[in-house]
Amino acid sequence: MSSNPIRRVVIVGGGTAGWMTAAALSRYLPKATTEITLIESDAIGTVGVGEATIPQIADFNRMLGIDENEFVRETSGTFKLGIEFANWGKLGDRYFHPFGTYGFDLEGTDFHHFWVRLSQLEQDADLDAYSLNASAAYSGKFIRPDGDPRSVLNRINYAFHFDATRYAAYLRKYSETRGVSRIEGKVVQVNQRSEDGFITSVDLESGLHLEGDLFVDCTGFRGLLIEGALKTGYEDWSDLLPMDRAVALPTKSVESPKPYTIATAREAGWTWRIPLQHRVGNGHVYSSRFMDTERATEILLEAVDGEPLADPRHLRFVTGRRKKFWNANCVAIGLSAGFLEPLESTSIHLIQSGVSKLLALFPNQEFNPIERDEYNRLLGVGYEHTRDFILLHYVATERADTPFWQYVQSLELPETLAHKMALLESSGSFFRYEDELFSVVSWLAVMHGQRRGPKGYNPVADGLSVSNLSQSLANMRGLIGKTVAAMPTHQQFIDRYCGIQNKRSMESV
Amino acid sequence: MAQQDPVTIVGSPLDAWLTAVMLARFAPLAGAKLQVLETSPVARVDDVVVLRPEMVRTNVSIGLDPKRLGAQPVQAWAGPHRQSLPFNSFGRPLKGVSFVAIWLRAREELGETRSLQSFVSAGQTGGCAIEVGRYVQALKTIATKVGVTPCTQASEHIVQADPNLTEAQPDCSVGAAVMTLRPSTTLRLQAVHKSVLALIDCWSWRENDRDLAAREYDRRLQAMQASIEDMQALLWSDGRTDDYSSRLKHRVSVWQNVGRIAPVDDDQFTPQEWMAAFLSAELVPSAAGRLVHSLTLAEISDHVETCSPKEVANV
Ligand SMILES: Cc1cc2nc3c(=O)[nH]c(=O)nc-3n(C[C@H](O)[C@H](O)[C@H](O)COP(=O)(O)OP(=O)(O)OC[C@H]3O[C@@H](n4cnc5c(N)ncnc54)[C@H](O)[C@@H]3O)c2cc1C
Repeated sequence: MSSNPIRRVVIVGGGTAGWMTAAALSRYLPKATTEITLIESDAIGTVGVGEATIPQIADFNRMLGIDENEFVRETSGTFKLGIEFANWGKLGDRYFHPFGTYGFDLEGTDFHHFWVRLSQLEQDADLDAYSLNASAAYSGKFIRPDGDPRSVLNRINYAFHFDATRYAAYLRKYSETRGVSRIEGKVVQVNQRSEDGFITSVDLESGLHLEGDLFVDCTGFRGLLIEGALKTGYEDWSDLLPMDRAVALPTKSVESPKPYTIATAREAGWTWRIPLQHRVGNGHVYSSRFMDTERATEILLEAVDGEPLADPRHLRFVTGRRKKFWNANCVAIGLSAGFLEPLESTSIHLIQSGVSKLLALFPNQEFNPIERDEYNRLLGVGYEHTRDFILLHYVATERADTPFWQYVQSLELPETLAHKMALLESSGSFFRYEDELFSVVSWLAVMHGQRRGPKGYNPVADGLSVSNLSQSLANMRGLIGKTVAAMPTHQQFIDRYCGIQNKRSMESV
Repeated sequence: MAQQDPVTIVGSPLDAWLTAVMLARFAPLAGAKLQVLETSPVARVDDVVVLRPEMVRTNVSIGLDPKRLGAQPVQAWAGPHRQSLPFNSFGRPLKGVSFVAIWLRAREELGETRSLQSFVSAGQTGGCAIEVGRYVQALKTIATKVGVTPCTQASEHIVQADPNLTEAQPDCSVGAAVMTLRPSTTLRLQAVHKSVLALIDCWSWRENDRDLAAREYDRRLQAMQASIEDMQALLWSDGRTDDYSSRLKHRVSVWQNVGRIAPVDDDQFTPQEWMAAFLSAELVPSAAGRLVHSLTLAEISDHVETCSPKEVANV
């Protein structure tokens, strides 16, 4: 079983993807057998964005055995309870996509069916009042779950915002402590075996020649190994998601950090705002088919509150995925594997998913095609489900006020997305694919927030009398309201457990 | 369907009364009267049927607590050759490495001889075994309370739970009428339970949503059928693989090569049930993931001991 193990893993790229991969592999691969080397080029640098996450990242931290307070402090992080979407369903609209749940299920049936019934009877449509996350977020509060499965507080669910550069540096320290060797330099040549294209080694500008058994391509959009050398091919999804440019701009904070991301729809794209402890990350994702760089930058500058801390940074990308994520003895993780715009902060999760699956299906020198094919299948499904959920935001809308929004209205939707939307809209029904990231809470938040139902509900909800229903839901709102009132503010929580000022004072001790 | 027409549920006592009570309790079908037409029983009254944990939860929601009827908690259900398909997981992971991988390495390098099944975690699963006669009786009692009656009048609207009725033109089929089931009351009830839940979810009364609801119902039934058929093919195959679907073949090959259960959509069984079914078909992984080599043999040996059922039971 242990025969012929991989002895040398070479990771090319030291951005978020490279260091997440290095950290996880160094945690799990036996040091006596496997040597891990990471090559990164300071001259090329990293993409420098990617600062909002989803709750699954806590699993990754747990996998590494990371102390969460230390992690938040070291990355100048903040807590994230969800995303506020502005102007998506209609100009002037606003809704919250919370992590965690809505209300409490009744009669073994999802809460929202009861809520739909009540909202039809009483015109009570305030879904946020049933979400601990949304209510806490809008009150600027935060606390961790208390671990008691019966308590309301235990239903809070959260992710993080963090400084991407500091995150990579943090994971670098973690990985180096566990034996990962780091080489600074630029890879200029990728050498392959003639018979099957397997990568044998890479050459650096410095003349260094590095051999390996398994190569992980974390070189970002370039895809130096997976595409440059292996010519794997790319599935372009920009017909469905026409965004292909971004401009990013960090600014000074003008207020205490909010415990959520803000995504505001614009004329031909959307802007993000990510509050960190030491600054705010801002950006504008847009489609160059419908907007030029000047206008995009102007919109971003108008949208920010604080003083800019750098010049606007322009990025280009092609939405889609690599035809194979694992080809020969090379696995692409991160931007080299594919790109989906960060509307739901899914890219870092897709890195995490790639790393976990690589670990679970880790090859030996024989490179059994079954491991590779299963990896490609699972990741492919993950990218597609995520794409459909992002697409939902553009198509479940009444907006048609600019050529961009008119274009997205005319799109022919993937069959599965159309069916899911129709079901949820008409009857509140939802099905979740195996391994699908987003649950009914997320779909409901977006569909309802963008004025697309649900119009119907499961007949089980008719089983309660109106007064019972009304009372049960009032109790839920009351419980959530009371719980939020007792929470500390987000800023108080950070100051107490993981503030960067604590780091400074610890350093000065 | 006009709302006041009676709906007749046709099937064996077990299938039909469960269907009727679930429909009456969860989907009052806009006031339609429900009646049950019993066909021949598929199980004897003193047979014992295993209810999966999710079925027990549904039963409790319809007002039937199997514990009160003297049901016994069970850890597993049984296949035709006494294969034991557990509801709980095997052992516990260690440092992120699955117990199955640990067990495989222990077998290979430490001469572990105990079967994987012998490491099923102790503790409540929620599943239980109940006598058919008592169960049907309890369903009938609840049925009376929720207004379901034995069939007294002819009706045009039929929910068919019996596969042997060919002359009827049902409005829809559930359970054994949806697919060919092997003789297993556990699988049979699972099929009834899942299909009736799908029906409740999809039975929309608004005319303009009918097509959508029907499509969704079919989609769910096909998914249920694919999963149950794969499990049946494994448990009843006697080593032949010709009946394996391409999906099952894929799962077998991933299991044998990597020691993992490949996730698929709408799976009706848990990974541990698949593992047990694979192992009982003598499909043993040749590799169990390389992660297990991050553990020392001493750690593996200790961990296997702490997960052995005796130890767990003593804790
Ligand atoms: C505008 C925008 C906003 C985003 N926002 C989010 C978000 O909010 N949440 C989220 O989850 N994700 C987000 N992402 C995605 C996220 O930024 C990336 O998934 C993440 O940063 C991983 O990037 P990477 O490590 O793959 O690539 P990079 O950061 O580009 O790193 C590439 C590495 O490869 C090295 N390299 C390249 N070529 C060579 C060479 N020849 N030799 C040696 N080294 C080389 C570079 O030096 C660098 O170290 C966003 C992306 C964009 C474009």
